[in-house]
Amino acid sequence: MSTGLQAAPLVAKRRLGDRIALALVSILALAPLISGDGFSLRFGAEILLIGTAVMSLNLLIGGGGLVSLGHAAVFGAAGYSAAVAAGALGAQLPLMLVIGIVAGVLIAGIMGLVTLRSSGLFFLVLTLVVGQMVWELAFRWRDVTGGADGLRGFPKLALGSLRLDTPLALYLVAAGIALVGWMVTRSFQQAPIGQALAGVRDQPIRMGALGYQVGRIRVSAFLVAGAVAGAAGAIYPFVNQYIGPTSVHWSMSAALIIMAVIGGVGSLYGGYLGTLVYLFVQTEVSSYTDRWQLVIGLIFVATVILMPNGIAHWLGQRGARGGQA
Amino acid sequence: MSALPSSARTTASVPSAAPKTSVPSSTQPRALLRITDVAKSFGASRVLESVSLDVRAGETLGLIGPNGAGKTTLFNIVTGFLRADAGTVLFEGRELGAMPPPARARLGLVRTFQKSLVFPTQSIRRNVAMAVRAQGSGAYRWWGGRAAHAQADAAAQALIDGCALAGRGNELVADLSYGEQRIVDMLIALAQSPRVLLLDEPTAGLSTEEAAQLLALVRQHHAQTAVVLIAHDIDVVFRECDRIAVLDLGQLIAVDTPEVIRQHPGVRAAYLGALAEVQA
Repeated sequence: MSTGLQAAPLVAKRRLGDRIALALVSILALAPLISGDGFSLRFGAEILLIGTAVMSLNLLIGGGGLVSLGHAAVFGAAGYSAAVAAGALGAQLPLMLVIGIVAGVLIAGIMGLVTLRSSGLFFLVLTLVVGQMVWELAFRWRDVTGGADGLRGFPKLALGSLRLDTPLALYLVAAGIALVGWMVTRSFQQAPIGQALAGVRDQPIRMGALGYQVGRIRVSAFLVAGAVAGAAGAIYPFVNQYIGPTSVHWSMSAALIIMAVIGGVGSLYGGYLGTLVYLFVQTEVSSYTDRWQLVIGLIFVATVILMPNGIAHWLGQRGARGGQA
Repeated sequence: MSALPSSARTTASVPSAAPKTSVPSSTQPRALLRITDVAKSFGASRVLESVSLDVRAGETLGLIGPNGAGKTTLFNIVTGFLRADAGTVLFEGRELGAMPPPARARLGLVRTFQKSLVFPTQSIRRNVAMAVRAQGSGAYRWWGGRAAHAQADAAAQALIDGCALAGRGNELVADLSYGEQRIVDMLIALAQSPRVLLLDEPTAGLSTEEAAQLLALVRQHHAQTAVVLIAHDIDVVFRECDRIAVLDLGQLIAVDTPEVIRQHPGVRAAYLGALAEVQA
């Protein structure tokens, strides 16, 4: 066998896994459009928006080895900001997106700066603390955020005079955000800054010795992840018709990490697959029992044992074996 | 753990007045790196005591001494990974002070580490290209990645083609042998266009053939750079270096040509003599 064929089998498998996952995500994304019922479209929109947040978290975890336990604060703060602004200024789509992105970038930027020199457990705890500060704000600032009750009844999403409050319109908006978010994240990952982020993940000390400013690279990743999660978070209240403090709670951040692990850490499409599995189990199993988290726990354990790199990479391995046979 | 028996350490109280060099000062090449009276302690332990050393353009300077002598600590201070308690480090006449490691690296003060710090999940070419990009203005670019990658990859490929890994740029570094990973480690350092290259035990754990390949690679790029070499293999140091500096218990006890160092009574007592006794 030539060296060319031996070269980078892991990378080849990952690429194949990504392609299969992309095909799967595309088919699943089209399914609600084909079925056309309101529930499927809203559920699909929810998966696409939370999946986009998971994908942006995957940029930090898979791309930079930065396991953040505060990413829900980024996503949820954007949702709160958009919902509050909609009440005062109207729910115009571009305005909501700008507000969500600004809020996401702001929270993620603070998180990036606070955790600039930390790693491992300290990084995890610092992101948790910043996230819980946002939760505290959402929970206590009752006049603005509605406190424990959250916010509902805000204006319907619109683009000019075009109303975007139908399930189909909301689904298409969510799909557009997912697509643009994926393009931005992928572009970042493939650009020199994304390669440098992978270098920081693997060898932070060597990166400093090479002349890279490790802090600048990490903060850049936080800002991009914040912008993408912020855009998705801004639309989330309009799909869900509600935003409450659980959306910024650390348990939501933990759920995002679980979705990322189930889908495949390091795979941008894997985030959507993980979100689909999580939300599907949550929706379906919770209609039979309150203990749906037990099922999620079992799926998580099974994934870690049977598919340690997540669904997307497992698909790559299956595809590679099929190709060899 | 020391490479020397403890008895060797106790004999280290030798005169530190070794002649710096036999070459008249007027004919000496200029000092690229000047370390003056550098001291460092960790708690009560004094690791370096008033160490002064010049590294001249184009030379290979060996830095030897028993384990715990302070060699790597001196590297860490020069490259900004540690702050000295006292003393100064001048690079091309400019005091580096509190300058952080990335800024020093961009000036051309390049180092390797005792452990091979490569990027295992990336190809050989991408490992070297990472260092190439760090030197340019596009290291943090968010867009237009393809052109930036192509430029860096081409420069990396040229370096790879000039060494024992020629034609294997696409291979994952994780799949390489330890010796090959050390070569990648060296290629990364050379891709940084070093003015002073500080090598911390680059041949440790390598076979004679692998060490020869690595040192040939350094020699190939020697004309453009000064090299400071830490190695426990005395044969390598005496063969490769123009001058040798000997550290013992944080003190610089001699700096001179290999011939003079070999005969230096203080060095023999503290290091070579004991080593010779052990080998005997």
